[in-house]
Amino acid sequence: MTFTLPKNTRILWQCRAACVLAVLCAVLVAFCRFSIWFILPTTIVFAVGSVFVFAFIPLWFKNYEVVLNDDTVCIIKGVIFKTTIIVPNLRIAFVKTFTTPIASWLKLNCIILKVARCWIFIPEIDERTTKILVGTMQNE
Amino acid sequence: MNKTFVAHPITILYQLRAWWIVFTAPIVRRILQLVLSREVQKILLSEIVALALAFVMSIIGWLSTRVAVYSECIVIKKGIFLKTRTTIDFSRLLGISTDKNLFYAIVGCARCRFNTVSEKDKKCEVKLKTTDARHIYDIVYGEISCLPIKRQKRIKRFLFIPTFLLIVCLFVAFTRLALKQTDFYGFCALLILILYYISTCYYDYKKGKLILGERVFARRVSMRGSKTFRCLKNDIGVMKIIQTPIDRYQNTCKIKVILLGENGDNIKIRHLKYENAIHQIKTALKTNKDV
Repeated sequence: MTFTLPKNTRILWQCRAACVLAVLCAVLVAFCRFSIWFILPTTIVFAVGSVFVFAFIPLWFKNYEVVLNDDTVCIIKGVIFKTTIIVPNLRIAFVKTFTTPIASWLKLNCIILKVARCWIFIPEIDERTTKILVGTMQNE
Repeated sequence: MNKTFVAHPITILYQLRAWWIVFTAPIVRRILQLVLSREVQKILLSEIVALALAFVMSIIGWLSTRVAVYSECIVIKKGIFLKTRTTIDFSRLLGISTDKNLFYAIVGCARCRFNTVSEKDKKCEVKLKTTDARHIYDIVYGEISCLPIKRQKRIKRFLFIPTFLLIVCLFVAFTRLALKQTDFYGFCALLILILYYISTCYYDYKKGKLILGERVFARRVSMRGSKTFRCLKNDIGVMKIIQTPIDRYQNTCKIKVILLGENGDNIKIRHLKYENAIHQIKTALKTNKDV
């Protein structure tokens, strides 16, 4: 079974990134009254942030896949550096799900897999897919 | 089958404790003053005796460091006064790795680490002769019959970055020479470093490999030295396949293998053929669908 991330997750993360960008630009603009040279970093941060929000994040979510096999979970992600993480089901120590208020309103859950030496974070997916993923890992 | 291996003599240098010399030197001086019934000159005599005592202790420490391989476990014995005996059952062993930097390679030594689920423990590390380390691998894991994952055959991929650095270094050096701003020793040091980097890349091209079967074998060479790694397939925690844009263009990848446990050892092998790697991973981990 192969799962991709829903469209709502992409929009949610774009909104989050846009809020952070707005706060950062507001802080830099506030510093502009002390020195006019702060316009340059503000412009750079705004340009880079805009590319990140409107180009990088959609591409990243487009390339994100979770593949469930009988014995393993494969997570494929990345834009410039593509990474495939392969985890045998038996090696998953535990599975954690959590949700934020807005994600909960959109009926989305995040999943965190605890494996050797790392935490694997799967961004918000819908509740039905969460149950399938958690159930498959528990059945091993 | 029981076999015992003694640590490499380089262990003597690592057993030498500076604090032993600092604390024993005044005591030795006092004893010598009592014995000789005269003032002992501060310079050297008591310090030499203290150093000799520390050296003797190091030799005893070296001789008492042994690795014994039995049919079901490995026992690591260390210590002079406080003797420790670390027993690792084969069922708790998560792979054996050996590291070798340039100095170790010259003296024929390898730092052998026996990985377990718990945190990295110095008691599970021993410096052995290279041949002894290989012998332990063969006893514990036996021979590996699978073929390695195919690697990029073109050597220029391995040597691209170091050659680029060499050209830049030579260009800068000649430019400074033309402008009469030479820094000969700095240039020589940088050149030696780049040549060392080239040699490690070439050695990685020749010797680096990854075999994924019932038994996993991996070897990679970098500027920090060479690392060899053996474990069972079931000891693998996570595998990561990483592709840069150049890797995607040339259909190659890097694979990082991470063992079980919070401080599980890991190894990254570069320039592997992507299709072959996926096929071997599917066969080794028995994944039925395409990754």
